[in-house]
Amino acid sequence: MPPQKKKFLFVNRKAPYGTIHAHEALEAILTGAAFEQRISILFLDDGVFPLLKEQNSGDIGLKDFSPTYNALSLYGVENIYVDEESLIERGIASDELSIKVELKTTKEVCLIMEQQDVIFNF
Amino acid sequence: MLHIINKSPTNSPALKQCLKRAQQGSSILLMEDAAYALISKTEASSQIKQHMNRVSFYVLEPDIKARGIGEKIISGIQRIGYNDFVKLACSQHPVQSWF
Repeated sequence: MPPQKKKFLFVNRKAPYGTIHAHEALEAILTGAAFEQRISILFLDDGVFPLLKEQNSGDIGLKDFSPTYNALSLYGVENIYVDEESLIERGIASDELSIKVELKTTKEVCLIMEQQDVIFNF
Repeated sequence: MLHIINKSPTNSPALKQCLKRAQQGSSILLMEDAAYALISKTEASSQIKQHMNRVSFYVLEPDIKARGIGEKIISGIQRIGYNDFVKLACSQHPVQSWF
């Protein structure tokens, strides 16, 4: 009987560039994908900012890693959730995001968290 | 489920963002600078009091002692040491950190 797959949730709560959390999270997700567990990502609070289109960080000397979000589905990431209230609070419409995501209410977000085996926080 | 907060409520929205999502019956551990949230007659501790009937709150005693606020925090919060912290984290998974 193959070992039971665990549910990993990567939670993003930080904006890009100001801190390295968002970029580090993406690196960890791509690494985690290699372990073939059941990976989900949740973008919450300021963590929704890295999903905005039109990022162009050349002038601040930092790499724009947001195109990599498009590769997530290739890495076997099952679910990409975004906290809808976090978007609204920050004046962001879902069609301004660079990838297709599942919008979730606060209640749904809480249940998603509780159902995980392991949560990685960034 | 266990939520861990380590930021002061007057310096970070972490406590507020956690309280918004913490479910009935979950636990919240305040450690490091989050211990300041428990100082009585503050907005943060009054928020915490409102949630005390649906969520269990814990605070790390060493962090309270280090910051000299032992006599200033609201009552009814379980003050635990590091061993209990480990037991809590093992018995209440998953663990979500708000920083």
